[in-house]
Amino acid sequence: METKPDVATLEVENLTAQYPDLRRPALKVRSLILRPGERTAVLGWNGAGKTTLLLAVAGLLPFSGTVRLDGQPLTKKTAAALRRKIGLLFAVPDDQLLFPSVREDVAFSVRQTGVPSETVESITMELLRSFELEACADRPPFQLSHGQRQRTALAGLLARRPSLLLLDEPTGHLDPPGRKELRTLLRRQSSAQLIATHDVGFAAALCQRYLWLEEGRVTREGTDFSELTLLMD
Amino acid sequence: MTKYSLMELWGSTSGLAHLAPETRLLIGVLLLASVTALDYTQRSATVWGVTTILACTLILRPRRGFALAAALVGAAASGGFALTLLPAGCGLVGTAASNPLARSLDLILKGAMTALIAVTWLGSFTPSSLVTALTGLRVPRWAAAGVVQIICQAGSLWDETGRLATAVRIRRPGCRRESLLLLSALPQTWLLRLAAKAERVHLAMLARGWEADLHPLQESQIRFQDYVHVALTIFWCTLPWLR
Repeated sequence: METKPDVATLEVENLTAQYPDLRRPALKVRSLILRPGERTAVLGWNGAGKTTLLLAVAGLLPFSGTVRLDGQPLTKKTAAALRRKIGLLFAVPDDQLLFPSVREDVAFSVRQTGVPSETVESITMELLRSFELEACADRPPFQLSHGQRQRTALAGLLARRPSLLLLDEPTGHLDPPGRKELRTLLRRQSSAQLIATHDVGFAAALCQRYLWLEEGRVTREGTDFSELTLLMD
Repeated sequence: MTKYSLMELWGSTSGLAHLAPETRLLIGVLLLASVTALDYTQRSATVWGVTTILACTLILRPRRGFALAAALVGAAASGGFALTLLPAGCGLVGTAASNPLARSLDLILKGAMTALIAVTWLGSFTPSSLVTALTGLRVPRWAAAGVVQIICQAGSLWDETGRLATAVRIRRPGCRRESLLLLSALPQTWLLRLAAKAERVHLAMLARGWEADLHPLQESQIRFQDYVHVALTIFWCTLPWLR
């Protein structure tokens, strides 16, 4: 992962995204900056635009405005190349597991980093060990538990050493030990992270600041998560 | 009732596991082509076909539920075509080759055997070894990648359909009108889910930089025994054509 000092990992200006079947923009974010290693939580009720924000930042939704990744503007032309710097975890990990076995799925991402082909297998196995997935390396992903599927998807993302991690409801189906494990794992990453979640406790323990979205707009932002506890009640 | 996941089709305890995946795929394709090409109005062909099916089933030990389902689906699908061959009031007239009833039975048998052989041989692979076999046999990588996606997404859809069926069972309709309402809504619900899933997978492919270029994790080794097995299969497949 290459990051230049003083260059924000993610810069967003006047970002607007609209779904064809809706009259109002689903997202209207004036400004958002994420520095290397910074973790920001995106909070809000269902339908507030959290997933839309992540998809737009990943260049997977048509948008107007400016999105810059490591200083480079995200456009139709640059999207494919810039997405290599992004790791996007979907809310339903099944959707992003594209291979018949856990090992092959992770190996696909390892290979994308351009390592020599003879080392792909050993790096993959090392990753699987660190994610405690070694025992299910040859199993099809959808025979695994939700937590294991999510770990497989994460292993695939982190194998690419992205400079920006976009996580959509990462604690959605995790039990408390799973959440704790995920928190530890994400703390170890040097990537900037934008985490869309309903889980204020998880966000408070992990992130330095938060954005509160309502109808696609940032209506509140800050670093004091205790403010949100009242809002959630 | 036993519930299967489509992924259980794969990786049966194959008696030919010692052969390279490429060899197994080649043998499967040869047998499949022969079973499909034979004319089952000839008794010798029927004997050959049944012997082949029995041998494959004994050696490859496919999961019984899948094998039976495949045979029934194959027979039913080809039976549909066979019906078009049957003129009203047909009987056992003329030679076996020209008799519409015999032709229809030939078609049904062909459908059942082809489906059975296909499932039996596919089941002897794991999806990963199938990738190794396809790339080893120089099938274009984009085509192998397509096959892999079909396998993965079919498994996922199978499970989705299972969940939908469970939901129907739980919300068991009280009267006939409700049942009809539910049944008429099912295809639409299923298609909508399918479309939504396809859209999400497409986004995931873009996000992960999917390129239809597969690389098998392990290269396989072709040994002497592989050549022997292919030669024996070729000999076996030419038998019904020898007079």
